[in-house]
Amino acid sequence: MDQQKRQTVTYAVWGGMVIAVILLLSTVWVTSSARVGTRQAVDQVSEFYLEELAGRRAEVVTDELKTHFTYMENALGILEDRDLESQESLRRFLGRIKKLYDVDRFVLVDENGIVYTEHSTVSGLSRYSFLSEELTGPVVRTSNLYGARKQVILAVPVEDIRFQGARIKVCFTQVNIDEMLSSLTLKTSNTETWCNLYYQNGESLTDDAFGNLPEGSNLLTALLEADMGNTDGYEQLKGDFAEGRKGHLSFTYQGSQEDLCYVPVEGTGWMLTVLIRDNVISDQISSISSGMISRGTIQIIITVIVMLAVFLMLIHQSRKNAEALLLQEKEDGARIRAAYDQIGREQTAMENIHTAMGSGRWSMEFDEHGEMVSCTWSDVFRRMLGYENEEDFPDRLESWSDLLHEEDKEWVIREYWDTVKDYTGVKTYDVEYRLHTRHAGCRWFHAAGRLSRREDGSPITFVGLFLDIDDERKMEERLERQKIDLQDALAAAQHANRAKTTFLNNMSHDIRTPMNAIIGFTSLAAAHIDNKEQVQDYLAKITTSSNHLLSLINDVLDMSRIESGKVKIEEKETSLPEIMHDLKTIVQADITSKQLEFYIDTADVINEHVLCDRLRLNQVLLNLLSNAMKFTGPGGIVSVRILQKGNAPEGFASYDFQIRDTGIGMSPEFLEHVFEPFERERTSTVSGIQGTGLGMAITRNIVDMMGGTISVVSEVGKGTAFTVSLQFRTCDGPVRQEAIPELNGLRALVADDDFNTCSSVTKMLATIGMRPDWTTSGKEAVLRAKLAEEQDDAYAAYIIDWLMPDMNGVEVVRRIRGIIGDETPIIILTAYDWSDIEEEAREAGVTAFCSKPIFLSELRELLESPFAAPGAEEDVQEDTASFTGKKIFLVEDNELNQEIAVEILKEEGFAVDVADDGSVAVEKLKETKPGQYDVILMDIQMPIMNGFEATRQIRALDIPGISDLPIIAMTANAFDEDRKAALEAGMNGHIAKPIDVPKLLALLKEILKR
Amino acid sequence: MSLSEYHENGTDRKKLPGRVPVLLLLAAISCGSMELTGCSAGGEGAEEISRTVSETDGAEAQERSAVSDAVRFDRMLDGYEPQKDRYNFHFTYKMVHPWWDAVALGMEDAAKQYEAMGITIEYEYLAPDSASAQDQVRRLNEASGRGFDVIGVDVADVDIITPVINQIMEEGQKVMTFSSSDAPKEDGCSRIAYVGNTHNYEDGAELTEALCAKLGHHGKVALLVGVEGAPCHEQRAMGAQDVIAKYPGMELVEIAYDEDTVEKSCAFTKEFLAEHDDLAGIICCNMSNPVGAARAVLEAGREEEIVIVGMDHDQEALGYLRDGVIYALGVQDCYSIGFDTVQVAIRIADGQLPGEAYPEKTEETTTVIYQDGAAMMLRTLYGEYD
Repeated sequence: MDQQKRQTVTYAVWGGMVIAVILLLSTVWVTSSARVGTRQAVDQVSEFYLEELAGRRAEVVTDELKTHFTYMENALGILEDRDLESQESLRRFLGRIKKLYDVDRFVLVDENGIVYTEHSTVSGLSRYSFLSEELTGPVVRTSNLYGARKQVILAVPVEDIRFQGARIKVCFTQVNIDEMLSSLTLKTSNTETWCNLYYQNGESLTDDAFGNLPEGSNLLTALLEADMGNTDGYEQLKGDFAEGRKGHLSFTYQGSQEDLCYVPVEGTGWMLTVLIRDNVISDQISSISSGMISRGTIQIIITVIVMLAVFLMLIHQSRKNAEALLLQEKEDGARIRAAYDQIGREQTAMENIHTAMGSGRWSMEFDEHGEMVSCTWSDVFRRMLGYENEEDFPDRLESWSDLLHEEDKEWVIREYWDTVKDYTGVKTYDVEYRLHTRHAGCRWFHAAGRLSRREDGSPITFVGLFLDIDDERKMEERLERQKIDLQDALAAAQHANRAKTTFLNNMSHDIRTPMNAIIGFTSLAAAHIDNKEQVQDYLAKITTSSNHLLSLINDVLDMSRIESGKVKIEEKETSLPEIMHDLKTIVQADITSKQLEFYIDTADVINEHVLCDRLRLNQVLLNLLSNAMKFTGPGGIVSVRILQKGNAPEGFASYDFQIRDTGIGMSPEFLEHVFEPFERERTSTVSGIQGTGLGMAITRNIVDMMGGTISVVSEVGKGTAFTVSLQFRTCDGPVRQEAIPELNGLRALVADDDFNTCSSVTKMLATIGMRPDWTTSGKEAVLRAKLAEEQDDAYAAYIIDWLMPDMNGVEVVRRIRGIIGDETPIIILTAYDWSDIEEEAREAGVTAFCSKPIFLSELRELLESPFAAPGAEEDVQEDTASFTGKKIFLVEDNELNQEIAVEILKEEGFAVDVADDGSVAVEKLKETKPGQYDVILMDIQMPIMNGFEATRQIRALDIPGISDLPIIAMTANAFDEDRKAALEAGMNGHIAKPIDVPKLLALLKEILKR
Repeated sequence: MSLSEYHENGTDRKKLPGRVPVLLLLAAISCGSMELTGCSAGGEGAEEISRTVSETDGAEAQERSAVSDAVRFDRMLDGYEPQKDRYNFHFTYKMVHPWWDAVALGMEDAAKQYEAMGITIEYEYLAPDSASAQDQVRRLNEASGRGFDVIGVDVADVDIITPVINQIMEEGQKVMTFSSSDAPKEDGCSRIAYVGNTHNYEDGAELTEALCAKLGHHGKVALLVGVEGAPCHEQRAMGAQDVIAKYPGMELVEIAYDEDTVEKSCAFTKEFLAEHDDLAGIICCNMSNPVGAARAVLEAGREEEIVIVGMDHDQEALGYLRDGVIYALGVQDCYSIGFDTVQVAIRIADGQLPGEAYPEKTEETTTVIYQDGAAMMLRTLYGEYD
């Protein structure tokens, strides 16, 4: 023990000595470094000092120069006119100034180059060559002609001073450089510091010594021989001088180490340079270094002694600590071994579970900071992902995380780390996610893991299982999809069921209503069969109800066909004026009976002929117009306006058909459903207005099929406006817009109580070049006609409405004729059939009739063409040729229909034979002689042979006069495609049931004419 | 010899270089045939003529000494005590030109030294922009009525100015001549004294001798004179022609008057070079034409084959001398001319006549310098170190 102690002390002493030696050596090293550092520091300080010194002296030079400029400004300021009276007075002034400011010379120079000084007047400026140019500001130069007299010239430009007729242009003072520099204490008394001024090219302003450099030598030239360590120093110096930059340089010249500092002198192009002998600095540094070494040695001795004492204390204390640590280590070892045993058992248990479940296993180990130190994937795990070994799938976390499905990646990794970093141990890791496997695409997996943790909660191991649950998940997904599909199907079925119920409810009501009337009135008619008038009344009501029922059926079928896509739009050349005239004709009766005001405005139509489905367009407009009339009370207004828009591409025309009424209007709630089937704001029972609720839906569907749009604006109690926007291909050019030469500039008068008609017709008249006036009063029209005659500016044409409240149109015409004579054309414009009044009107002086609505083309034609002679518009007497003697072969299976048809045809004079099936008809015709029948009426749907087949067989007969008999389909198959099918089967015409007698007769007449 | 040397040496003015007798002989011969009074430089004043800085004087000390002898600006007044404390002079010279600015510097220094003695020297020193005898006549007549103590004139044209000088002298005005051209008493001029170059002929001859020697006395040369009628220019030209005539191998092929301008001398030289492919030398008789000649030769790239000699101390010309484009320049001591002019004027104003107190012609030196003296001359005159 004692030996151990002695050994320890020996170590301590030797150690202390070694440390002392190290310290001593390090002190010497540090001192040496410090010397270098001190040298650098002193260099920096001296550089700073030199810069500061040079800068201050440069400022002094600048200040001195500025002072002289101030002198000159002051002198010029006190120069008076009397000083300029003569050469003598000027010289006296210059002498005073020279003395006042103590300058070598104070000089004025005139524009001829004459130099005026205190005692001389001299020409010639070669010494002051810079004055030959016009100065714009103060200038500092040196004059060194005959170099012994280097002088500083300070010049300023002079304005507004003239002497003896010449302009004084410059004033300058001349200062001896040596005197100026000595007064600035630039010359130092010692032999280790020098100060001098140089031009930027290195020339010296003075001939003074500058270090070892020859007196007056060029600095840049002289320093070419200096040793600067490298060439960059000299180039830097040269560049700084050339650019007028301040700088610092160390060099050896003729054996002396020198420090040079230079700064530019503002406004001069001079460089003020300060040179200092380097030994001034190095002596200081040596002194500092030796002091550092001696102090450092003393410090080392003290340090070693103290260290030895501390060292011995530390040895003693460390022995005590080592014993305590040994004991602690033994305890910790036992605890760690127990923990590892526990982990081993858990891993074994886990392996067993995995083996049993066929699942993969993964495990990670972490250090005490929670950083992962290892990661292990079991072979089963790898195989589940399609990898064979560790080379394919390395034991690192990224091998797994890189395969995560993009949608799962972020949350799975977050879940993983949240679990690892949850030091409370509460959070568990149990997730299902998708992984991209090597060969089997993306599959679902289930992963669950457990963490073992240290006492502080930091993770030790993270072990978990890994199951392929893709099949289960996909099965779940399929079940889920099936469930949704079933729910959708159920909803669709329920919806369809509801729709069917609604439809049936609607139909039940709407069909039962007229049927009730028909049956009811039929019963009543049977009961009162003897009362002819009553029966006629009942029959009329039955007819009304029947028509309504028919229209309901037509609408339902129409809707059905539209929705099933069977309706096709057929474009044909169509005349909009014709459509509008037809429309007017159709509704005129209802308009009249309902006492509605009705007008059609067509003034904006330029293209009147378009390619469109006339039937469907007519249907749309008629539906809208019927609704307008239906929901507008007596006295209300219904109008149609066609507006041609200018936005159509070439070859097309865009129209807005606006149908307005002032009727009961619609609520905003109903407006949202106005185009849905079976929608009616109020039931017919409540509103008293009958309807199927399909009209608007059909209309919208047709407009859609025509590629257009329909919109509606309505307000309850105020009315409704529907706008149908359609675009058609034009089939001829626009209506000519140019003026009619014969009428150009002539006046025309329009008289109509409807303002809109006046406006429309006036616009058209203006388009063809006339100067139109208008009035809504018949009497005023007469007065205007008279006034125009008196002013000798008579109207060239009159367009007069037939029915005006204050005066009937015929009367207006009569009175106007009384004023203007017979020459001027007067046209009656009317919405009514004028045949009844035509004779009276012609007698009154009416030239022609024109029906409303009037289109531009019609008006143009009317005014362009010679007016028709009286009676020209007379209707052609309708050909009322009788069908008497004509023989007709009716093929119809339904007995009732047979009876009706036979009765109707016999009423018209036909001789009728009947067959109740197609096959019967064909057989019968085979035995018939040509000429026995004039025409065949053929039903389509018959039990044995339908009409199509029968027709084909008839056409196939080789019996002239029979096989080519005209055959007309008469069928409840009333649609367009039925008509086409009939024609394709070889028939010559088609008439729909229920039979529209006039139509049937017209068709028969046309066919029999051929 | 300057005025101070005159005082120091008394009447001993003999300071002749070895080759001077030859030049004197030539000058005497040529002057005898000249009507211009400028040729009288070959008279008494011609005894000391010019100095030469040897081409082979390599040592800087020698160089410095020679240059400081050529142009002196350390002159001190000769000790004469003026009788008045204020003098008023009018000097008129040929034309505004740097050469006369150097003369002005000497005047300025002399006046300054008198000022230090308490004596005020006021003066006018004026000239037209270009040489004009008529302008000079106007100036003289105008100045004669203004009460100047002395009027000094650098004669623009001897024939025209001499009568004017005589006239204003008769009116009581004291007149002296100075700087480049005199109107000598021998030609009937009554001016009191002359300060300036009295050896223009010799200067021209010496420069030409140097050129001929350089060319091995063989080759074609051209002569640029200066202002026609100006005595100094004509005399130098005469000296040059006489020397060339001596050597059978030398041929004077062109003579041109460039009016003492750089531009014209340059233009003439270009013509010479174009005309004579074998031109070997150019002799220049004033301060401007060596500059013009050198520029043209440099532009033609023939500086290696053309030998140029010329006059005076123009900075650009000295630069060409340093660079070897010009072979030799005769530098006049302008500063001393100005300095001595003021000293002589004071004596004249004080009523002293030439003789014991000062010479009737105060001669100033001309020094021929070569390439090796150019740098020192540039440094001395212009502070140009490289």
